[in-house]
Amino acid sequence: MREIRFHGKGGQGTVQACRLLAKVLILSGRHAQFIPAFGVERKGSPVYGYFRISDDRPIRSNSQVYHPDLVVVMDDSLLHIVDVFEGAVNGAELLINTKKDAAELGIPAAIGRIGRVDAFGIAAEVIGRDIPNTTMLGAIAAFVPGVDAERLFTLVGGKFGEKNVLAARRGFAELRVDERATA
Amino acid sequence: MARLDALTGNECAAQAARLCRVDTVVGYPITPQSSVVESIAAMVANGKMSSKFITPESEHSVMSILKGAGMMGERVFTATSGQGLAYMYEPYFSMSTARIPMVMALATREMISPVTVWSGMQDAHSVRDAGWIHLYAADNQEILDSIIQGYLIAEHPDVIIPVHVCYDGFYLSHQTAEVVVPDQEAVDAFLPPCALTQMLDVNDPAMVDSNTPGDLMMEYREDHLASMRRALDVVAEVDAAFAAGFGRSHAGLLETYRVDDAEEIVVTIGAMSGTAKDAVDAARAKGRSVGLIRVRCLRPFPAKALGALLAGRKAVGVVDRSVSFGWSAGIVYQETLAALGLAGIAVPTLSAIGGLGGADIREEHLARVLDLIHDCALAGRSRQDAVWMNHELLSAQRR
Repeated sequence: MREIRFHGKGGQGTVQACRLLAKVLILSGRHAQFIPAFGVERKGSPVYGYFRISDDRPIRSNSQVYHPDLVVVMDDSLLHIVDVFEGAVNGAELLINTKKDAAELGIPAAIGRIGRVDAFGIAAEVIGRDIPNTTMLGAIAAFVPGVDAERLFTLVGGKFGEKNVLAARRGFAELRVDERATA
Repeated sequence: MARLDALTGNECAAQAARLCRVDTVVGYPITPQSSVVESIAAMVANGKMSSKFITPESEHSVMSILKGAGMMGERVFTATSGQGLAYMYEPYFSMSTARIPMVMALATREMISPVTVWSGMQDAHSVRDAGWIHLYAADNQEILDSIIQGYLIAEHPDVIIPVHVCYDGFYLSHQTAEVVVPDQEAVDAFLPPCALTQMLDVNDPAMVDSNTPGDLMMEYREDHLASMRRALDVVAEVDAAFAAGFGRSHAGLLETYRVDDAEEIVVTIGAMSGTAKDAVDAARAKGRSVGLIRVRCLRPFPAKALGALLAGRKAVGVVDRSVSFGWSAGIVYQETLAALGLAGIAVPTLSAIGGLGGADIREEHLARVLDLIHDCALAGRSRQDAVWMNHELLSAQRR
């Protein structure tokens, strides 16, 4: 069982992205579950997404995720607002929307593999709005093994239109991965 | 062919209403159920659902219009939560006591104050004695399936009582999970077209539901309670028939998990039950003799069946997402005590309370509750005060 925690800000499309990712996985025959948690429902406030993927048995837990093995951050400004690494297991992975180098982000030693993509930049260029969710979906498909990228692009097109497919394809292609050894 | 999909709990409720070919949906938005009626509005607008869809100014009017449509013999549906349910209380009560069958989805919500929009079962549990049948779903598939089952139960000639399908607000209403959406032909084969009595006829005007003297009122209530008793059998039979038709059972009245040889039992309701099964497995792996009973049907309460399942155990704990003010315990706990009393069973018991106002019920909480149930068994004594699960976990971590 993989346990993933998403961090976003209200208005960045985190919930819609997680719902679409769950659909991609479920239609591919895997077990997946997504539970959102909102604070106050307004733009800019922190949003949490609790996500589980299982290949061997159906998911029974209906609680939030406290010990993620993957943390997805939709906006690197959240690093100063929320402890996105709280409870992450040793060797957990990070996928983050950022323009910065990994060394500039102050990532704790417990985090192993790091994926970075400039989702704001790509989205602004391709969609004309700095909404990072579909670019991040493409990056997830490149970063997380077993996500059917073509199915994802098809569902993104159906839900958000062709510009977002382009954003997702750019996110998929422009993901940069840093491998780090952890204790 | 049935279709595998990724749906929220609220979307499951909307899909079920479509599959049941309801004649009229009356909706008023309230968190966390709003996307039930929004989904239905979209399906009606897109021609995927042929129901009438009415949007009055309040929940009181919602249930009043549904009552009129039901009296015309229609199959009707709505969904609500928390304050919306409170606002429709008057027609809610008269819907059941006028014996108008329908199904209503309830995405549960903590009652205010202090103000909250988040999860808790206080809204649903507070109307448990308003004459409706109350089913509680544990996952999204069960929401969809229970609404389909609900119409067969509600419209059963031995029952004729509306059914409330309740599910945890946000934790299920907004959870996206894998769901099998049955095809229309399969649902049509399971649920015949609505054949309810038409109570109102413009060509034959008559007064319905007039002021009723006590002697007759006693007969009405006696008959309602007799129908509730029959509903115990019908709920179980309908779930068995559903399993035969669709290959999925939702355990009828009470779900049991690893209870056969269990010395200790935890009783749960709703979405926490899945998390609690993980906790039971972990406790079993440590050699603990524990099993789980999930209450699916809270009204009518399956007291006899629960009593039979609890006979011979060493301790019983009940986890509630509600409080019974003045009892300093949870509401399902009180129901369980009554079942134990009726069965003449003396066993150490414990009430645990968690998940109020959207608070998470974590596996760690439930593991701690299982430890405390074990303590009750060892001591041979009930715990007098409720266990507040958030505090208990913190104090256990400090030790």
